[in-house]
Amino acid sequence: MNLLWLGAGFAGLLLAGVPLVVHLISRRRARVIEFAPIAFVLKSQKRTARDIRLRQILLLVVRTLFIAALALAVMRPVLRPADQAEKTGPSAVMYALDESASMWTQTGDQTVYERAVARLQERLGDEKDDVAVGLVACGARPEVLVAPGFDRALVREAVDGRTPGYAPATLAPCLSAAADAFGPQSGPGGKLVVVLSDLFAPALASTDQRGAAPGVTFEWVDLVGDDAPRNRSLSAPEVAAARGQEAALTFRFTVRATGQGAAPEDSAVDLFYGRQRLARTVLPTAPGAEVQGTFTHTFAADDEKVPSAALVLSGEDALPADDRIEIPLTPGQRLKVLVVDGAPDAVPYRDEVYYLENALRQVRLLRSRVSYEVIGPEQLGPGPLADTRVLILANVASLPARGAAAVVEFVRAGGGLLLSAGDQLDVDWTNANLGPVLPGALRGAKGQALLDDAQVAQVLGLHRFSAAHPVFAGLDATEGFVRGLSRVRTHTTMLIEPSADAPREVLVRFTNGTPALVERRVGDGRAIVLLTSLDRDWSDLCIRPGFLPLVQQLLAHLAGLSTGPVDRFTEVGTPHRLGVPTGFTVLEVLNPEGEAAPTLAGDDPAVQTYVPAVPGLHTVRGRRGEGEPVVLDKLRFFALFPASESDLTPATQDALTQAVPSGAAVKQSEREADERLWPWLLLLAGLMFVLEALVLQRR
Amino acid sequence: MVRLDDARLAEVVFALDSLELRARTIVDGLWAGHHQSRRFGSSSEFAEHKLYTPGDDLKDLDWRAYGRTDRHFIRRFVDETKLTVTVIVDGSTSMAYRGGATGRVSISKWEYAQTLAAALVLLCRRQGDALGVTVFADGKKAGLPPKSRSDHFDRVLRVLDEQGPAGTTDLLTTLRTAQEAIPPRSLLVVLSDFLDVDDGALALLGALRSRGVDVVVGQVLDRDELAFPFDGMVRFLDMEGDREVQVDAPHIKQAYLEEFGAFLEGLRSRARRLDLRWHLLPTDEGPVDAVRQLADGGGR
Repeated sequence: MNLLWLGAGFAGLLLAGVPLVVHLISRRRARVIEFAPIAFVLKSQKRTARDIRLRQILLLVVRTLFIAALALAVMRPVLRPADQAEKTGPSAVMYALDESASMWTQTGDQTVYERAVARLQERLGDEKDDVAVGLVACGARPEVLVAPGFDRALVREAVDGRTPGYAPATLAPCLSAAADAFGPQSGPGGKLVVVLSDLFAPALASTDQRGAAPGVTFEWVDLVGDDAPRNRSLSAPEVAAARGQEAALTFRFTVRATGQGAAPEDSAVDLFYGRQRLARTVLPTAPGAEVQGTFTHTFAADDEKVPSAALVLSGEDALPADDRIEIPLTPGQRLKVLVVDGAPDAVPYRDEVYYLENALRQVRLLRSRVSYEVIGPEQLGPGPLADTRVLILANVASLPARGAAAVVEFVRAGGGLLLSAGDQLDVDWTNANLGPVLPGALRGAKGQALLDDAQVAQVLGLHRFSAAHPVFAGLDATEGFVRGLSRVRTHTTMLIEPSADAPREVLVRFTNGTPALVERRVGDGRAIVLLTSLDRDWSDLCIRPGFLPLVQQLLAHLAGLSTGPVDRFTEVGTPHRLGVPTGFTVLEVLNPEGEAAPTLAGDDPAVQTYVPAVPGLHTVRGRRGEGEPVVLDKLRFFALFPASESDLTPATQDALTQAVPSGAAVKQSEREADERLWPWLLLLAGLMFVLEALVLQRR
Repeated sequence: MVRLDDARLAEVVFALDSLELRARTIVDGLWAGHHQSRRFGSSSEFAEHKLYTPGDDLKDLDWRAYGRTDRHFIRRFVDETKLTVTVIVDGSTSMAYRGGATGRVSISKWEYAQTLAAALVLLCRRQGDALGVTVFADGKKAGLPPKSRSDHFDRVLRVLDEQGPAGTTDLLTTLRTAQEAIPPRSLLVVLSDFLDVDDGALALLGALRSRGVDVVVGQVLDRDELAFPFDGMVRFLDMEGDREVQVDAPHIKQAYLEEFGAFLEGLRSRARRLDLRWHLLPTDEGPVDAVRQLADGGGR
């Protein structure tokens, strides 16, 4: 019973004294009249005195009953019949304590779990000394905390300080575990399992692990009552690069409402970045319905701190834990692109990198500030590469020896290399010096116009795009079409040696079937070869509308700034896969409370798993080689409150019946056994109202 | 002359401060209606024949009738002498009740009875009859014997005007005192609420009647006493004693009406048995009609 109702009920009971007070006051407030025929008044009064007194008493009783009945009805009392099982009494009682996440539900000033513990303590005190008691916790997995015994203190100590978990839990296996915990012990009164649960539908939805428990009686203790608390939850978050807005992110989420509060209402969801509220959206929510919302926001490019955004459902409800989702974001960074111009020219548009420079000036990458530098081949060495993330070798014939070695080391260390072909490229030197990082050996240029075959003596287009590859995934690509790139005309290409086992991926081909863009992963780095020129000598790619987006995507990919979907979220209790960066070892995961726990290694050494136990933002620590432990920002993830546990819909009686082990008896639940008195009280109040009118009319 | 209906006339009458003016207004109203009193007719005109019975005055024997019918008839006349009128007015505290339970403007029973008595005084003066008056409470308060001198009527009016309701009702003592002065074949008018009148007083009125006195009883009551229109809780105090009672008025109304109705009916039937003329005179009814009832011969 809600305390608010209780308070209102007691206030109403006080009001029941009002008729008595009114009666007493009215006795004092009589008019005084000197009246000659008082003798007749006296006679009449004597005649009617008995009737009047009866009538006054009747009115007093009727009015008092009317108000008292209303006040009691407000408290919604129930009549609880003495149960036969209670009369005989069980010989052993197992308490099944629901520890699912929904037990965090707030009802009044207590959580349901706190109510459950209080009820457990209360019942322990009431149990007879010859009744064995035990305790099983119904969390993600059933856990017998105390086997049936006669020491109540063990049970009290077991529940002392416990809290419910955050994982979804089903009661059926826990009930079987509780029944199994009795063992062969039996007594004249039998075995009773008392289930202390919120009795919300999700916990009783599955009966997969339902066992058998003949001879055991189950008793449901309803801790919430008929009125399911009102709850709204945030779930199913998604984060993706905003389509058409290179530097913006789109956040999608779902708001779901359950429980009471039948009237639809507006729910406000805020997007926070740190403590700053960036945006708010108001969504109409209705019980049992889901509604989706979206935020799109452009973040600053030079914010290098480790940030996280947060979606927050404003307003109060019964379960605050599912009202906030934090979203780990990739920290902002500086991205330096080093361009080696292999064919400089005094005439700007004839320069090899003229069009590339124009594109680089326009590039906007998410949370990154892009800068570039153009140097000549002879300048390339370890120094210029020190803070470079992406190196572009544009039609470079050759490099100094130290430069070539630096390029190979650069790629292996995690750098990104884009090599484009051209008439200056020295195939032999390139194969010999850069071969370890290239996707394949170059064979030489092939100009289509020189071919004798008239059928293929046409300019080549691009096709067979690898639409799923991050480079094209952000360009709204299909296999046969990428906006702005499908009409590229190329007349000369660089051929690359075919290789079945080379660790490479062809991202797009020319229409004659030869590769146009090929990628190879080397260590932590990547190398991509464009098998035509970056200027207009061999192709008109650089003047096509798709050139700028392609350069942007290539840079993002080579710099490791993939804007594709990131595995940032997982539900509590669900294994989360952690992709271990090359060269790193994952050490541990820190939960939101700062507690560290090791990860689990699987078959794939590059993937480890971790099962979060609490909702919130988790950080991952690792180390490169034997270096100092560092936080791996990219591996941060948020553990979501289980969506199923946010559903606070009461279970049906059928679900309760089906959750108990087969062969077990079900003691009538309190909810079912209780005879609701308040409708009768309302009826009584109505009758008193009518009766009062009748008494008043009869004068 | 503009004629007012009785209700309007009542408003006019009781708005007047002077008792004599009130009475005159009533008497003018009575005259304007041409309702001449049989009792107060000035001629000794023939009324009827009756068979002679021993003891009848032989001077009334109609010899002509004897000659025609050979039977002795006595001639009877409407009136032969000046009428002697005695007015007894109840001046006890109970007559001070002026109602007002329903919010209407009302006059007290005393003012009503006093006005009616004054009207009778003026009627007598106009017709040359003799009139005496007694205002009684606790025995007797004030009074003048019947006379027909013109200054006597002024004194009577002054006595009526000077008296007010006080004391307890004691009609029996008053009648015992006054009965010797009331001649046979005179008219006795008693104006009272008769709420505390005992059987002895009624019996004495009956005895007067048997002596040939024409007894007219005017029971002056307020409408509140007749209809009991009170609402809510009311504490009633006795006007002539220390009794009091608090009641939920609507609840006892029916019983009161039954009790009071039985009381009125009892009085009326007793009066009928004693050959008294009995008139119920509610104070909210027109005074002209009331005077007419008192002056006319009805009421039995």
